[in-house]
Amino acid sequence: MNVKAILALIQKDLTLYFRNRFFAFITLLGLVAYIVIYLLMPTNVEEDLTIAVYAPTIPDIFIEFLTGNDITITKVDSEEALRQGVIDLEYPAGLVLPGEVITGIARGEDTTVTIYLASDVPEEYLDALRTVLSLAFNELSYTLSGDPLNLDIHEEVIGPDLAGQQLAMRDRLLPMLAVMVLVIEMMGLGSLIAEERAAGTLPALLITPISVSGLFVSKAVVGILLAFTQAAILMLFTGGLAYQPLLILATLLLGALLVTGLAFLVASFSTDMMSVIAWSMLLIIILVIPSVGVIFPGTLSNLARFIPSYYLFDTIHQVVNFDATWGAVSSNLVILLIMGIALMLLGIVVMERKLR
Amino acid sequence: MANNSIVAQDLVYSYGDLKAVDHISFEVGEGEVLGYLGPNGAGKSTTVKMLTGQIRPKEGRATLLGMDIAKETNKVQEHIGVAFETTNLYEQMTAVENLTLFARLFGVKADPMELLEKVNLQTRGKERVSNFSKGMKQRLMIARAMVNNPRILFLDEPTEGLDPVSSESIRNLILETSAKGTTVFLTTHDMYEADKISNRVAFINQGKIVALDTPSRLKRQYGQRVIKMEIEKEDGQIDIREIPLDDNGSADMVKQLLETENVVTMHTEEATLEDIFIEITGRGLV
Repeated sequence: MNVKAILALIQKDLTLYFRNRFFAFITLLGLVAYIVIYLLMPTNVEEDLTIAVYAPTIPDIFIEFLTGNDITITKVDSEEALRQGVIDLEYPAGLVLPGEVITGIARGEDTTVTIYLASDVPEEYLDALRTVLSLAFNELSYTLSGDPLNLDIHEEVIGPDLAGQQLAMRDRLLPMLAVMVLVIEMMGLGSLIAEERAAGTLPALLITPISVSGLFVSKAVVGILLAFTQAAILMLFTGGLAYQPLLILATLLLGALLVTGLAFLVASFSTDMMSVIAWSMLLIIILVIPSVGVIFPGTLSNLARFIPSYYLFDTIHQVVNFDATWGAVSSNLVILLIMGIALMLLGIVVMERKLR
Repeated sequence: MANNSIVAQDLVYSYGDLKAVDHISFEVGEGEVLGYLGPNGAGKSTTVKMLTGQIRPKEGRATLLGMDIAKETNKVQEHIGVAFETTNLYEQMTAVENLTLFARLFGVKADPMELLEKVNLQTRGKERVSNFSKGMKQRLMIARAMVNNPRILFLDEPTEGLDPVSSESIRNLILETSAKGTTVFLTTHDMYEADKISNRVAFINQGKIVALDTPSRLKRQYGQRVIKMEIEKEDGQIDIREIPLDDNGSADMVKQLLETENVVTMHTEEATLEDIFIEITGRGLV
């Protein structure tokens, strides 16, 4: 393979890419916008203790104790409404106090109360809640019966239990922003190839000593380089490279390989920039679906695992937000590598058929 | 010609059921200009694609500079230059950048300004090609085809749609290039151009070569030489008489008309390549 010729083609493609004002502008604007969006997102999670309570009769002393400890109380009319409110994330926790519980406490009997917890309640929140509720029930018990209370708090998590994994919105968004930068690049490379086909410059290249494989190598290098560089810049400015820089960079590289393969496919189906945009938009929508699972935990179907970008989102999410190690995400990386190579080969085969 | 640069033997290519090129054979000598003439869809471009390694013949074999194009494609391509019919330049790059890119792809050191000078574009080298006129782009295409100092130059309709001055400068360039030993394979349906600059011409029709010879021999073989006279009658009407030059008694006929009639104009006429093509194939070139 003629390395000098490949380098000449890479230089040519990069020149043309940045002389295309549309893509040069979109690239710069997108990168800046993604970084700004990240920085504008809240850095902290909500730490106020809020609890919904269903209690047909609730002693004033209990309420006074809780509010005196900075706990916000919302009364609801039924246990069902309370459960739904917790599922809908209106309240992080809901306490059920039926009449018999109050009666039991007054009699000094062993008592069990139920707390419904939202799936993403942080561990610190739970600890604080347990402490305050124990104190409140003891206060209530002394008041009603004069004896200390033997209380059992039954906790029920509604939805997947992600306790202890509370993340700020910007952290949840970061994997999506990184993947967006990568997949948007599909349009850039797709257009470069489609424009070459439309302008008839590909035949001009193919009557030089450069081989078809050399041509594809140069395109692949350009695609991977553009996608990877932009995603790496984003991660650099958003702190995504703080913990496991090599692992993140490797993941982004595999992601860039994946989208470059897809760009070849898009280019082979397209005749001009408009058709590249149309095909790319369709793919981008599909590829971004797995980000829902990161932004709204527990809402993603297992079918999303069939979308190649799932492994990209999941790996970045695990590494950036939970300090996952190489070992923890190795299966994701292997799947990404296999999918990336498969898509790249498929893209090259389809494109070569079109060229011939 | 002693050394053949191009040898095509029984080349066949078909698109599905359509036979675009049907068992054609020919040779082109070193430094020769071969005009390859035929109407649209006759198989001209398909022949060029096979000879330049863009497509593989379904049957037959083509050797360029002694190398089989199907087997040693990249090696052959190092020594050929192709100027396509439709302009396919990188429009967002300058003329110099276009030439430099192709020089790098061929792995040669070429002076872009020298090439641009050959096609009278030396003052526009740093301009983006998108600002060029069609004629300028066509000339740049030829400069690009010459970037590797090719031994065989394929030119596909190089003067199509150009003004007479640009066309003439390109024809002169072709003749200069050929004089230096470069073989030129000129695909065109401009009979005037083919006649003027080709050493030999090949007529291709429906995928087959129907005639191949020098323009003068073809004219002698197929054409008819005549003297055309315009005679003014008494009522002012113009009468045209054609007297075949090669017939017995032609001279007497001319003499008699000059003595007895008011001859306004008189000139000889010979068959054009187009006339011959129509005579051979029964169809026009366009």
